[in-house]
Amino acid sequence: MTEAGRGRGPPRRAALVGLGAALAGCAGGRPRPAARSRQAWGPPDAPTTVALVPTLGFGPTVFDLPGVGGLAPALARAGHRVHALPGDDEAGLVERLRGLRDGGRRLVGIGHGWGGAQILRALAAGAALDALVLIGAPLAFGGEQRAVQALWARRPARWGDLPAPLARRLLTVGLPERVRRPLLDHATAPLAPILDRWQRRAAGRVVPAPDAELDILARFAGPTLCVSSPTDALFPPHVCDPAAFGPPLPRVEHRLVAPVDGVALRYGHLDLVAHPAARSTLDPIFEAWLAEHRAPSGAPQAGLLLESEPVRR
Amino acid sequence: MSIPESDARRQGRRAPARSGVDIGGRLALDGAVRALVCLSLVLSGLGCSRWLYPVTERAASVSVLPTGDGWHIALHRFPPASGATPRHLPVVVCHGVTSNRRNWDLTDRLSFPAHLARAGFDVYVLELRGSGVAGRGPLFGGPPPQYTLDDYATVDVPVAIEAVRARTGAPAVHWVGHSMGGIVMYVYLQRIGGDAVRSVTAVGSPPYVLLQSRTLAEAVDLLPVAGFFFDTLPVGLLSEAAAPVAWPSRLPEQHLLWNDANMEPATARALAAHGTHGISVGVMEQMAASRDGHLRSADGAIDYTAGLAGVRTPIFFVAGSVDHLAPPATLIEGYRRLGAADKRVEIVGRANGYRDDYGHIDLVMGRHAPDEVYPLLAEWILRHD
Repeated sequence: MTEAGRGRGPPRRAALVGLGAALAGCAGGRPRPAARSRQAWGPPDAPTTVALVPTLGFGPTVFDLPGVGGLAPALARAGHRVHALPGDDEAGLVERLRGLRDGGRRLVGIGHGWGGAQILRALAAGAALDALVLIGAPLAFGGEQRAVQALWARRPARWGDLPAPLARRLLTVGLPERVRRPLLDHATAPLAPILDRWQRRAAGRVVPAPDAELDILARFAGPTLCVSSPTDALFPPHVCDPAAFGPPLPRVEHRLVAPVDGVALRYGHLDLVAHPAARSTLDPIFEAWLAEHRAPSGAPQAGLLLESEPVRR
Repeated sequence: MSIPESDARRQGRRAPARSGVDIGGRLALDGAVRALVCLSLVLSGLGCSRWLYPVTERAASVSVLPTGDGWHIALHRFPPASGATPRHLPVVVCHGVTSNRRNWDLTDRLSFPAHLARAGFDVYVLELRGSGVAGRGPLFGGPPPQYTLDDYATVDVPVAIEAVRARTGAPAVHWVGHSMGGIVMYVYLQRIGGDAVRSVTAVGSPPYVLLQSRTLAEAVDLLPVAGFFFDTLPVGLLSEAAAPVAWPSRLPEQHLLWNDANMEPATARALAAHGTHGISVGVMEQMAASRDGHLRSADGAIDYTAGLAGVRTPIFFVAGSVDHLAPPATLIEGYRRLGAADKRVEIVGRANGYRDDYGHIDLVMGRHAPDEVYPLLAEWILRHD
């Protein structure tokens, strides 16, 4: 894996990058993405390695926006070695995860949205993880949300090609413009092929039906934290919570990100990882869960349990 | 030399201790004052909230009917508006858990029965036993104070439907229920069945239990404790007293009820003052008892969730996108399980083009409900009339 930087750069550099982007915006042009996004953070000898996989159409920048920060540097500050993997290389994900294995260090996968589904499919293809965090990641597919149907109908090549109101409705609830705009500019990964695949998975259903990802999750031997927000227009709790499809899975904990459970803001799909407020509200949830599951579980390098039955109803 | 308390504070020193008698007297006085303040707050809350947030009656007539087992139900009639196109079948509208007729009819604007009446329907708002003017049973010598969903569905609902059919001469009714008002119909269709119900509109009515919210799960865990002390949970009294602070939501538990952004403050407070009623612990325990999510009869013999597969009556499941009492997943599950070919599910939220995300109560009483939800429900009823 290519590594573009180690540790955090000086704050002045980040400020200059932000200033440059702002000036480009003032000049009438859209701020141009950095030539190469950063892909690794934190101490290389940390006991835990975290592999981040972004959601559909986004790249590593979604985890660390220059001048703003994000989940990746937050996890690095907590003492983890963090790698952001590309979201448009599902075929190579198994090998990339294997490449992150280093001795007896714990490897945790964190997938955002479609990236979480990709990690599950990588597990089915032979990847091994010690623990898994799924943030707004679908276990079922359908076309029940008209905003999603509109997304399919438009079939944009990239997120930036969508009209801003529709992109906002799909991706965010309250993401500040200073974050949303550059994130969309950095979202240069091809979107159309994933939308085609998603639409095929939905198969014209009126409501989402649980799919292979749920069975994979049921068979995963390590602990899993599923996080979802009811205001996530792309992947709300009714496609992310395993309990929505049957009895709760024994090794899976689901957390609702909503005011009813003490999270003050409402989070959209992108907000879950990129909203500045997530650093003080959601990151502690992830960090506490990772700390709680730090002790060896007796199932290091957990893959899939072969004896489990599919849980789909 | 003693130092006055105020001087001691100024000097940063602690005032010398008072004698035991002094302290005892002071504590007794403090306690009495605090008790008086609390009592006056409660009394003023109880006495004033209904006066502070007044509502008016819109129903043309009210009938209180015996159920045959010692209880009563009430039917509030909203006749078709003059000049409206007459419709074929009457509509019975039923409230949710711990509520009454105000659940559906609060103000001129927030009144789904009035909306339907303007569309030409003959509408009857049902109050189940123990709610609203249906009233409680006698204090002594009456029926058992606890009742269950089964009692609602197998006694109250048939009495209501037969009364409406008898008065209108219609062969069947349309049923509209919010929350538990839809659940009792799931049970009725399985326990009583027949052709007396032409269509069902189930608004925020979970056909199985899914405790996605930790706050809700913790509240459910407290039910056995409440059941130890009460036959009827005094929800109405508490709600009336708390009406002035019903909006904005400051506690996580309040977010179980509605999306603040989609509720007018005046609506929230009026609803707290007038729209909440005590309810039998038996109903609450039955709704929360199942840890596998399936809703069952009080004796556990009948699985109402699984039984939906045998129901052939058309049902429209309406879910609020941020409803934590009836999460969309539960309504979707009902849609999946329902045996009827004619069925529909709709998630009311921003992702489906609505102006806001809807919680549990704002599905009916929300800021935008008269413009967005009422026409949605009416269209389904019209299509099946």
